[in-house]
Amino acid sequence: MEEKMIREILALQANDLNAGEEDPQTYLAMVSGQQDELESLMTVAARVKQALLPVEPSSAFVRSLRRSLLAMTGRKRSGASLLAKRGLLIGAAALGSALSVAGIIAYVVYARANAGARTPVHG
Amino acid sequence: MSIEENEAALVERAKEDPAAFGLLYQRYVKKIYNYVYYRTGNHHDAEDLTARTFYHALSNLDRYQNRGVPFSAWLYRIAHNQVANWHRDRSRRKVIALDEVVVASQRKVAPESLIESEEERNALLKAIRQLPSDRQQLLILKFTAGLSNVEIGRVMGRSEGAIKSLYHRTLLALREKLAGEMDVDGEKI
Repeated sequence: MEEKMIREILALQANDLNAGEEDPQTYLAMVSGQQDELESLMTVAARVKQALLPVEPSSAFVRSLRRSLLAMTGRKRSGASLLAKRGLLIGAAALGSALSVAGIIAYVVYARANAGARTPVHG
Repeated sequence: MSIEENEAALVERAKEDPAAFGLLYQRYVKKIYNYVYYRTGNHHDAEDLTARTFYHALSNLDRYQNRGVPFSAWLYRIAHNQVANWHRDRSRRKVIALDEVVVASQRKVAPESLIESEEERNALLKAIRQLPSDRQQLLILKFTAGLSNVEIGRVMGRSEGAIKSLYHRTLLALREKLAGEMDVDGEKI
């Protein structure tokens, strides 16, 4: 039970450390038997927070990576539009071929029907 | 509209609009850089892996869908995988981090009080880097990125309760490590 309490308090203390607010005494008053245990863990947490200071990437790196990524998005888009154009051309060519074949078939059917109608009846 | 909803809309826009991806980049580049820096310990690799993270994100953005994993968590997962690959490659060859050399040379000229404080910080960072990968990840996401336990859970694929528990165990392990160093040196670091 006490361990669960310590876990919850440590989570709250971490939020306080991130917010720049520290009030260990309030938390220490919440536990009865394990104040030393809690205090030493809270001290470790505070030291970790101090050690993991935010670092700044160089502005030249940030700018250069941004340029490079934007160039990549441009290439991606032109690649995609090229593919779309190619797809459209292939589609149009396929449709044209299908129409040609359909036209030839229609002509053959029509020609046969006409030829049949013109055949003289003997006898 | 919440920040997450705004971000989801921005991510959808970024799939078509480079300017929107530029905004996402501006929002996360420092956070990802910090995460990678503290996992690798040097600026050179931090730049390399940050770049790889964003190239990977951009290449796979079309496939990204928010299924309970916000864009930020997805980005941290990519960064985490890049770091894991880096550690795997590095374990095959012994490399001395350049920054460690720089810090060591700076110590010789810094005032004594600064030396002590920098040494203490370096010892703590060294102890953190000796922790298992998931514990390092947790501490960096919590204290450098400032993520909540719920957000860390989304990155690491664990529940909020599991993160609280891992955090507690991590502090216990770190305390033990630091106490071990104190025994060796004969004084508190």
